Parts: sequence; C-alpha cells; structure tokens
Amino acid sequence: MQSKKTVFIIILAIIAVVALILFVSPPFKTSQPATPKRIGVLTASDLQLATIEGIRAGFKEFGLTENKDFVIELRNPKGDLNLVKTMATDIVVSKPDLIVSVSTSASSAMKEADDGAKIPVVAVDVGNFAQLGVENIQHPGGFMTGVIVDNVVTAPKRMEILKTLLPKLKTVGILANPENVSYGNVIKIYEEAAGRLGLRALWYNVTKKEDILAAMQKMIRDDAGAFMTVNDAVISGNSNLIVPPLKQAKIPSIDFNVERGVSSGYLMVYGAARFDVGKQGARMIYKVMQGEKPGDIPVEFFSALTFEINTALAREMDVKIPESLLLQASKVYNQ
Amino acid sequence: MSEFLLGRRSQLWILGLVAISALIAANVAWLFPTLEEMDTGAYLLYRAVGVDARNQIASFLNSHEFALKNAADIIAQGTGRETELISRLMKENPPFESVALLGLDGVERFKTHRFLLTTPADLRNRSRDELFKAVSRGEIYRGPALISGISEPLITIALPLRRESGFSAIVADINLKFLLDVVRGITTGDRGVAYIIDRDGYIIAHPNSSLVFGRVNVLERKIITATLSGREADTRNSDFIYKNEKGEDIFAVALPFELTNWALVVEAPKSVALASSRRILSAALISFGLEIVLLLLLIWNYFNLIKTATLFYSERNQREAILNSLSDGVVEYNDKSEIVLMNPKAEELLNVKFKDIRGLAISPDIAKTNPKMKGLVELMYPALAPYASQTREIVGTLAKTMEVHISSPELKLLVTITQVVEESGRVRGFLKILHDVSRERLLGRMKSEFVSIAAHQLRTPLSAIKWTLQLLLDGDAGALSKEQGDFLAKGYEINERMIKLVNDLLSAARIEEGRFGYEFAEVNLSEFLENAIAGYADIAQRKEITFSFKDKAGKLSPIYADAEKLSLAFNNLLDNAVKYTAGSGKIAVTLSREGNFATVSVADTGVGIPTEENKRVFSKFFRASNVIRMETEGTGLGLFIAKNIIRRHGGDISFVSKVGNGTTFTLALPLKKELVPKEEKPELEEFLGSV
Repeated sequence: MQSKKTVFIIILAIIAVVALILFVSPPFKTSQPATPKRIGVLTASDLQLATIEGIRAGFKEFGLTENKDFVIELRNPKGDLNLVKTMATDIVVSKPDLIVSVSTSASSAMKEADDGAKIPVVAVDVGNFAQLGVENIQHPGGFMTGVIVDNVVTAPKRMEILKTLLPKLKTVGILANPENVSYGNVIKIYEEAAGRLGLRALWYNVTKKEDILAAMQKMIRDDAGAFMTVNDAVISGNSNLIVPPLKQAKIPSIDFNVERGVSSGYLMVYGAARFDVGKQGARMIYKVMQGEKPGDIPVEFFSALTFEINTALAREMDVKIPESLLLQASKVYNQ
Repeated sequence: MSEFLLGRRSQLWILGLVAISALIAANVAWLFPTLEEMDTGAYLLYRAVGVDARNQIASFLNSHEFALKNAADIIAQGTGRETELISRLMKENPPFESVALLGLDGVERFKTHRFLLTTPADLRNRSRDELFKAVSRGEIYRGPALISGISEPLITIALPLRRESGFSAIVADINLKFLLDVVRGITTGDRGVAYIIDRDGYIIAHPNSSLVFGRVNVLERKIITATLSGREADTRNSDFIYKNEKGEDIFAVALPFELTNWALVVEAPKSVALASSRRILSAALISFGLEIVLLLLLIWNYFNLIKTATLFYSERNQREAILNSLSDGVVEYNDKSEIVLMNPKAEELLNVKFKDIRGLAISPDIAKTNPKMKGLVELMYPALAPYASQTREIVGTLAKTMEVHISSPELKLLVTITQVVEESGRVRGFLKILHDVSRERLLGRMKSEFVSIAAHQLRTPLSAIKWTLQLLLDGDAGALSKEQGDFLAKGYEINERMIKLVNDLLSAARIEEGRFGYEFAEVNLSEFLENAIAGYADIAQRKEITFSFKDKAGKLSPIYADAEKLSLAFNNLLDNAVKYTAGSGKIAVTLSREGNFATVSVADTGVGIPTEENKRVFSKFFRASNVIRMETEGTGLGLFIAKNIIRRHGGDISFVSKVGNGTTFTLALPLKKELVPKEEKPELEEFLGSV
C-alpha cells in the first residue's frame, strides 16, 4: 500500500510539472494588460495640434488605442512663450511616463524643465537639435531625441521658388522675431540664400502681434518684391494680420505652414505637413514607450516636403506661375 | 534471499540500461531528423521571404531607373524642356532627392534638389567620377550608398544619354529611406525582420529606423561578409551564427543583391524562427523524461514484484513446512465447500489425497459415488457422521470445538472449527483442525473400565470387613473392653471411608463411561430437599451449625429427575458445606424459580475456596489447598460427580466463594421434561480436562 501511494504521488507530481511547463511556455502564455502610458505633450500654439493628430494616427497604425495603451495630457500655451515655460514645469511635476514637445520653443522649455527629472522626451518638429544641446544626432545620448523639421534649412529653397516664380525679383521681405532662439541662425541662412540668388533680404522685427501691422506697412513702403515667413509663433499665428496687406499690395508670398499656408492667404506653401511629422514622431515615441532610451535613438529628419500653390490668388495678383513650379506642386488651388 | 535479490538487481540494471538505450535511440531516430527538417523548413520560408524582398527592392530601383530612362528618352528627343521634365520627374518620384543633367564633358548642366537651394554655383564637375566613366561607356551607374547631410542613405543612379541630346547622362540621387516602407512591409511572423546592408556593411534599410540613421555597421558578422561576396548564407552553418543587439541568438538567411552589391537579410530570434522546432524539442524532452520515469517506475515495480514474489514464496514454503509438520490435520474450504487446503496429516486421517479433491465441491452425495470420501463428507457434514457432539465455543476466540466420529476410516476426531478472515474482514473460508482422539478415548475408556472393575472388586471385601466390624461392635462376638471398642470403631470408620471412596470411584468411572444408569421420574423438589436436609439434623446439631431451608419458588410442578442420583449430588454439596463450615456457622438452602429452571442454592459460611483454584473445583480428585490442611479426608470426587449428575439432568451448577466468607453453590434444574437430555453421553469438557 505504501509503495502504491508513493507511485501515485510521483505520477501526480510528474503531471503537475508537465502541466506547469506547458502553461508557462508559449503559446499558452497570455500577456497581462498594461497600464496606459501617460504622455505629457507640450505645444507652442494651435498650429502644432495637427502634429498631435499625426502622432495619434501613427499610434493607431501600431495598434495602440488611446486611453487603453496611452493617454495624452496636452498643454497648449496658444502662442504665449512665457506660458510655455510654466507648462513645461507643470508637465515635469506631473511625472508622466514620457514627454512629447512639439516645436522648438516648446522643446527648449521642456529641456530646461526636465533637466533634473530626466523624463524621456521626444521633441517633434524641432528646427535645430544643436540648440537643445544635442550635438550627435546619430547618438543623441541624454534623455531627448526627436524629429527635425528644419524650416530654416528649407528657407533657401522657398526663396528659390520665389525666384523661379519671379525671375526678376530683387528684394524679399521677411518678418522675424528677435526673441526667437533661432533668430541668429535665421538671419544667417536667409542672408546666405539671398546672396546666392542675387536677392536682398528686407528684415522687419516683430516681438508681438501688435508689431505686425506696422512692419507690414513698412515692408510695402519699402517695395518688397516678395514675402517669406519664418518659423516663429508670433508670425505663424498671426497670418490674418500679414496676408491682407500682401494681397492688397499684390506681393507674392510663400509660407511653410502646410496646414494653413494657402488657406491663410499666402500664394504658395512649401514645408512639412505637421500631420506627417507627427506620424514620423509617433514611431520614435513608440520606441521610447517600448523601453528604449531616447539617447540611443538617432534623431531623424523629416524631408517629405509639400508644395502647394494658389493659382486663383495668382490670377488675382496677376502673377503667372511657371510650368516648372506647377509641375512640382503636390496641390494646386484653382479657386 | 539477499543473493537472489542481488542477482536480480544486476539483471535489472542491465535491463534498465538496455531499455534506456533503446528509448534514447528511438527518440533520436525521429527527433533529430525532424528538427533538421523543421530547420530546413524555416530556412526555406525565410529564403522565400528574402527572395520576395529582393524582388521588391529590385522593383523599387528598377521603377525609378525606368522613370529616369523615360526621362532620358524624352531628353534625347531634344525638346528643350528639360526643366519641366525634371520637375515632373521629381514630383512623380518622391524618392528622388535631386536630379541633374551632365554635360558631355561631365559637368552638371542642370540640377534641382527637393529641398535645398541649388544655384549654378552648386553645379559640380563630375568628369573624374566613376559615374561619368560608366555612363561614358554606355553603362548604367549605380553608386554606393552614401549618407546625406541629414543622415539619410542615398544612392546615385546615372543613365547615359545619347550624345545628340547634348547631355551625357541623367543623374538622380535616390533617397533610400523609402526602402524602409519596403522592409517594413516584409513580415516573417512575430519579431521577424528583413533589412538591407550596403556594400560597406552599413544598414541602409531596416524596420527599426534607428539602425539606419544611427549608421549601424554589421560587417563583423561573417554571414554579411559572405553574402556581400556574392553568395547566399544562413545560420544553419555554425560559422555564420550571430546574436542581435539584445544578445539573442538569431536565425537568418542572407541573400546577395547583385544589382547594387548589397545584402538582404531576413532574420528572427531563433526562439521565434524555430519555435516549432523548440516546441517539438520541448515535447520530445518532456516525453523522453516521462518515458525514463515510466521505465524507472516499471523497473522499480518489477523489483518490488520480485521482492513480493520472493517473500510470498518464502512464506508459502514456510507455511507448507509448518502445515506438513503438524501432528494435527488441517482442512480449509470455502463457502462453496471446495477444499482449498489439506495438509498431509489430514490426508492421512481422512484417507484422501488433496490433489484428487482440490477445488472439488464436497457435497453430501459425493460419498455415494466415491466411497473413499465418506470420511471427508462426514467431517464436512457432521450430521451424517456416526457421532457428532454439540459445538462448544472456545472463550476469547471465534473458534468452536466438537467431537466427530467418522466411519471411514473409523476415527474419533476432536475438530476445531474457525473462520479464515482476511484483513479486510471478509470471510475467505473455513478451517477445520483435526485432532485424532481415538487413542485417548480408548485409553480413557480402558482406564474407566479398570477403575470400575477394581472398585467393584474392592466393594465385596470392604463390605465383608464392614459386616465383621459391625458384628464385633455389636458385641455379638463377646463383650469388648473400652479400648477394644475404640479401636474397632476407628477401624469401622476408616472402612466406611474406603467404601465411600470406592463408591465414588465407581460412580466417577461409570459417569465417564456413560453407564451411570439413570432412572428418571417425577420428583417433588421441595419435599426432596426437605428430606435431604433432615438427614443432616444430627451432625448439624453436633457441630452447632444452623441449617435453614427456604422455599421461594412457590408451587412448583414436579421435575423430571432421578431422585437417587440427585440425592447423591445434593448430599455431596451438603457434605462439603457441613465439613468446611466451622461450629456456629450457617448453612442456608434456598429453592427458587428462574424461568423454566428451579434453582437450589446451598450457602455456607465456611472456609471458602481460593479464587485461583476456582477452575478446578469440578475436576476429579480436586481438593482446595486451604481445606487439605484442615481436613485430610475426602476423595475429591464429590463435586465432579455432582456436576455430572446435574448436567445429566439438563441443568447446571455454579458457585461463588470467598476465602473466609463461605461458598454458595447454585443448582439449576429444568422444570420441563423436554430440557432433560435423552441420553447419557460422556461430556466433552471432561475429555478436554482429561486430555
């Protein structure tokens, strides 16, 4: 009886061990639902909201569901640079799982606020990572990585487009914000491009929207042959003050804000679609969510630029669009 | 047994080793070929994926080359609309980062960049480049993968143009980041990836763009160097095994992409790629382990069986030896009356062989067809035997005993009957132990006959002595002096005791022989007792003993009894009571009724009987140790005779006693005639005592 009992116990033990092995190893193993990742997002203005939508779309392609896999805690200072810094601090204090900063100004504020906590940051739609202290874009190190959308680097191309449009163009009017971190770089790049194209850049400084009207009036008095925007919240967020004088003076213009450029009244737009930038950024954010360190993720460039032309406005302004430009445009607005 | 086991143990070891070897061989025979097949299957799958990926890459490059070729054809027509053509080309081919037209001297005549400003100052002289040399030969130039200013991989493709067009070639920088979409679209199950390596070992397209933009180089992997040299390779070759950045062993198939001297790798962690193999291997290992355990259990079980069998045979031999050496016969049978065991002594007693009757159901009729089995039949069914006593239980056991006389052979057997009960309590069968008491009975009868004859012969001279002494004491032979009278009275008294002894011996012998000679009639028990007690009035007076008689029974019907024998029994009780009760003592006789029995108790205040001698009170010649010292006379047969007489009347006798306090004997006599046995038979208990 004793031996029978022993055999029975041994057999039971074997069955238990086998069952344990089979149920621990795949495919029987089932994953436990994870807590949604909290993503603190800081923008500079409403312009970056399209980027956020692009991020959401990118996450969807990865199979992530909002509020189940991730939660976006958005802070939008709506163009107020002072508020950007405060909001950046708020985000760090809330201790999210990671931070997404959209735009150079938001990313700069976030870097400063997160320097102690070192919460992972993915900076999307940043003009220049060197300004954020990232020297090696292939191996950023630290706690920050992201997607570069260098509207400053592509500014010469926009200037070239103006020159192609108006071969006899001599001057280009440009609004700039001396308080913008990229101000110096903007001047340098634009001047260089102008020099190469045989143009002269006319600079008009604005630090707040109240300065814009006067600057535009001066530009018109200075007889600027064309107009270009720069990447600054004060300027980008106040196209309603910039466009009417341009239209009235029939000055051809080019913007980089794909979402609003033509719809805002500019003649042409050449830039990065923020939605697409957001999608590219989503891939990097997803890596960080999977546990990769931002410092190990190379900074990427967004180079799929979009060119749009408002031919209806061109007709109004008696401007003929060359065939070569029309052929390059990804979208032409005829009405 | 230890030697036996030792021999078995070595056999078991050999058996176990052979079995384990067989198991291993059987498992290996199917497992490794199966694993190899599965590895081959995985390789073929991954290779197929790689071939498909390679085709997609080729299609990607070919499509853009085709676009360039179309553009080249148009340019060759000399339409002069190169600018528009290039613009359209850029728009329709998003991977084109820049497009340039080379002059016949190798200098760029026209160039446009997707997002960088290009001015005439940016036009390059490429006359010394390999590119120009290739197109000058009329070949398509496909350059190495280079990195743009924004860390994106580019490849330069140049198609030669006809000289008539005024240009030597159309050159396009193709951004290979668009290959990311190609490799991301290639899936090989969970965690499988496909990626492209350029001729220098850099990853130029990978689902994980970090590896592209991070400029990861994998040239140290032998599989890569082998593939870049133009041959296929895979990690089934142990030389090409490598680990990924997470340290996981990788299963990979690498294919060369000759068009651009790239390598295409399709890989997955081995645990994923060969998951099926691993599951098979796990199942095989578990199965093998279980087989080993089962084998060990079987061997262990076999070993235990050997031990148990050895023990069984050892015990069986021991039991057989015991049974064979018994001087008593043993017969075991089951509830179907089939004989399952018979020892040699039983065979001898019953004159049958066990092998002839094993398993045979012994029925009462079987003796008719087989007279040799008559004795066995009579044993099994005592009612058929010439004589069978009543069964008596053996106190403290389940066994019973009885005496059976069988006719063939003629034997007197003392049979002990018991049940064979298993541990579970189930009655397996019955056991009869046969003790041949024929000789003892014969000896006992001879002894009784001798006693009877001797006693009978002694009575005559003793009676004569009594008559002579009585004569002298009566003075018939003349006057005697006082002294003479005393002597003669003493002699008379001693002779009387001798006569009583002889009478008691004769009575005892006749009782044993069953020839005591009873004559039953109706007796009024109350009158009988009164008369008996009256005979002791003188001696009671002399010893100053108080005699009393109480009749509590009321009106009793006469009992069926032999008055003479009953008187003998009762007088023995009264004699003892008087003899062993000191002066001023009491003797109380009580008659009462209990059911169908009349009880007579004789209670004295005498010396009592020692407790340790109680069992022998009714034995022949027994006298308690405390009375021998005080009264040397006595035959020790009185209570033996009294008990037998009472038992013959269908009654019983018992007593309670305490040394110093007295003894009470109680007789129980049946009131109904049918309770009195019809025959006088020698009692079993006496035989037990005598044996």
